[in-house]
Amino acid sequence: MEFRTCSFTGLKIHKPAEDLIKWNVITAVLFLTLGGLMGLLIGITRWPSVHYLDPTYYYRYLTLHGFDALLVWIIFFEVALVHFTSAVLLNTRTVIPSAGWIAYSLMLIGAIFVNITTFAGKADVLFTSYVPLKASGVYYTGVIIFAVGALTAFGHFFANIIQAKRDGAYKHSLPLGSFGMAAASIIAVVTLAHGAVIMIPTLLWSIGLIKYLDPGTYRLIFWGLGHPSQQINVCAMVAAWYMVSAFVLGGKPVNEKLSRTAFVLYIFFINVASEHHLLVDPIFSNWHKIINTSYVMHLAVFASMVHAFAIPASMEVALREKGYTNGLFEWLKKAPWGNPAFSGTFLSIIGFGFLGGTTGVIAGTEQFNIIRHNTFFITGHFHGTVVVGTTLAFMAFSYLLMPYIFKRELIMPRLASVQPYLYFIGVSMVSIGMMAAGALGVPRRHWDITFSGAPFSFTFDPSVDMFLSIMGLGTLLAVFAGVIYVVVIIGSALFGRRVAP
Amino acid sequence: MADKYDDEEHRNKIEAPGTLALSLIFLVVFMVLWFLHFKWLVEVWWVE
Amino acid sequence: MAIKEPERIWWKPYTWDEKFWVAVALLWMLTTFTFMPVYHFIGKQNPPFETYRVRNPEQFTALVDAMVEKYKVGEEEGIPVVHPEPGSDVFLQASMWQWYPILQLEKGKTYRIHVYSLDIVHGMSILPINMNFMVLPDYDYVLTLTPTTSGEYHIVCNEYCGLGHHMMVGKLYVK
Repeated sequence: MEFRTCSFTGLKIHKPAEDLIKWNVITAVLFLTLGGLMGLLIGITRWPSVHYLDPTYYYRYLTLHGFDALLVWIIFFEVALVHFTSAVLLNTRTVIPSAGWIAYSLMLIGAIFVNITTFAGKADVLFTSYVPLKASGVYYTGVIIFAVGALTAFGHFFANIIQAKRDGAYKHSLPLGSFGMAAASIIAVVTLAHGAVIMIPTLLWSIGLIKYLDPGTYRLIFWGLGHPSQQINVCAMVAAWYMVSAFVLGGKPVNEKLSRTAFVLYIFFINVASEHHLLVDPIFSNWHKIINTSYVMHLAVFASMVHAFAIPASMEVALREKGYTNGLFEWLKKAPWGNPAFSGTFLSIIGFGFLGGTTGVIAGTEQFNIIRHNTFFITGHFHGTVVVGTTLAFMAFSYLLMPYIFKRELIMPRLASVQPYLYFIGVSMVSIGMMAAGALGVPRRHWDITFSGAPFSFTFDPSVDMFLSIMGLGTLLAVFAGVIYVVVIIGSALFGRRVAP
Repeated sequence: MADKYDDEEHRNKIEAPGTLALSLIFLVVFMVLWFLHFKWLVEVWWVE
Repeated sequence: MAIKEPERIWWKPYTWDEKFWVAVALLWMLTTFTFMPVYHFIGKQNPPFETYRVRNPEQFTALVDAMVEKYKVGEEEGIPVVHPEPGSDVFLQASMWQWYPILQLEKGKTYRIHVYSLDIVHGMSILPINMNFMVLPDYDYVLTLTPTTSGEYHIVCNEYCGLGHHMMVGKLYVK
């Protein structure tokens, strides 16, 4: 029999789905380790009193930090969520497991290609690789192989739910967690199509088969890949929030209609909003930019605000049903703050909203963008969304996967229960320090803001030093919490006490 | 299940007052940040 | 429940707090959206979009050189300082890793500043006022600016352009 019943959730778990989830999660965590190590090195380089790396390695590790932490860790984890929501949650099987393994292998090979090429110094082009900055063809090949693997994996979601419907695993509609991952998978297909449209010509250009690539067009289509891929993350993160609320507290959305509508808004509106990266580019007219970035984007932000209400509300209703009804906030005080899955999720919601969400809307406004574009403020913004938001949410979810999927108890549960707090504080310091420095004009992607060797030197406001030191200290704290996370997850997966079947 | 929710009482109920309060705090922070940026924009711009 | 198939009837009416939050959130989002087109006309603090294709980099370089020859008033660190006619078209050329030339502008006069990159993508960050624009090869981007404050400004590159990226600092005077 290929199914077992989970003793915590009562879910029927298909063995091949379980294996796929395990391998994708572990691979994700390994790449997070690598990405985090790079983050440490570049973070302390931008801390003025440490200024650790020399420029060659700073830009090289910055490229890797972007690729490993933003793309590889997150997409591997999302593939684990694909199998979790399209098979495990529906008590059904993953169809054609071999396709899942092919996707896994392609992603792994692609990621290794990119890492080796970059370590070898053949691709110091940063994550965005704006043409005419040229990397070795192997780099682009790696990116393409990774994207093909990811596309296969997200395609697996649709194959699974179609089969599940045939098998009668659900009658009418998907559970909300799966619904959210369906939205993520739809966005993923559109996004990765953009990736193919831009990365294949870039590969051909880098090996000399195409003579010329237009730098403006490259930026347009690259952000058709780069921005919506963050929306895959948002959808997957929100789906994980809902699932944690349900697993840990038995919370149900106060209104499924509202939550589902918000996911549909994501699919329709968030995808087009990528031109906010090009607000101060030549080429596109203001109206083009306004329509693309604002009209549609703000409906998508509206969707985020709906989720940001619906998820804590689901927790509040569930906790109030348990009898914590005094005042406005008794439920919040009595919430299971010692459970890292819960605390991580709640902190992720707070951080994503306050740090990442607000600043994203502001920096994406046509006029405001001029005083924020390419400054450290932008870096601070997306550490608020991607790190405090998505990464912390995925960390929280992986604490649930240990008993449910790996059938292991957490080793060092005490340490695990403080990890989300440390990580939240650390990355928030990084994010706030970057944003404050950026608001004073400090550029992103810049090795030395004392401009050593330049014909002229500009001196920033003296408070910049303090903000960058906050960022540096935050980096250390975040990396420390990251180490705890990796040790707990890998340690539990290997040596955790087996959960009784 | 349907009739359980079909009464006026449910419609006018506040199920999650704490979350609503948190959300409104969020909105205020959002607005303050937004208007600060507006102020900064007006201050620095090179315009007639 | 987010992990179970919903009950068949899940379109129950919204509660008061949901309706309130949805209304408030939507209203605020519509405000931030409407701000852009409205302020576009009222504030005129918009990113410029006037742009021309440059088919031949030498043409742009020729324009820069002509301007430098005609209006040169000095030299700093080997880079000419140029005081062009107020209100005219001025040219600023980015390359690895230099802003060329140094412009001397007059306060309150409107200039059409053409920025262009000779090689790869650069970012133009005017400090300390922190105004930022992208500079692309093959495109002449026309920034119509009126300096309202006088002083010494620096132009820092804020898009990665190779190992000397941090050395790419230029100057701009407003008198």
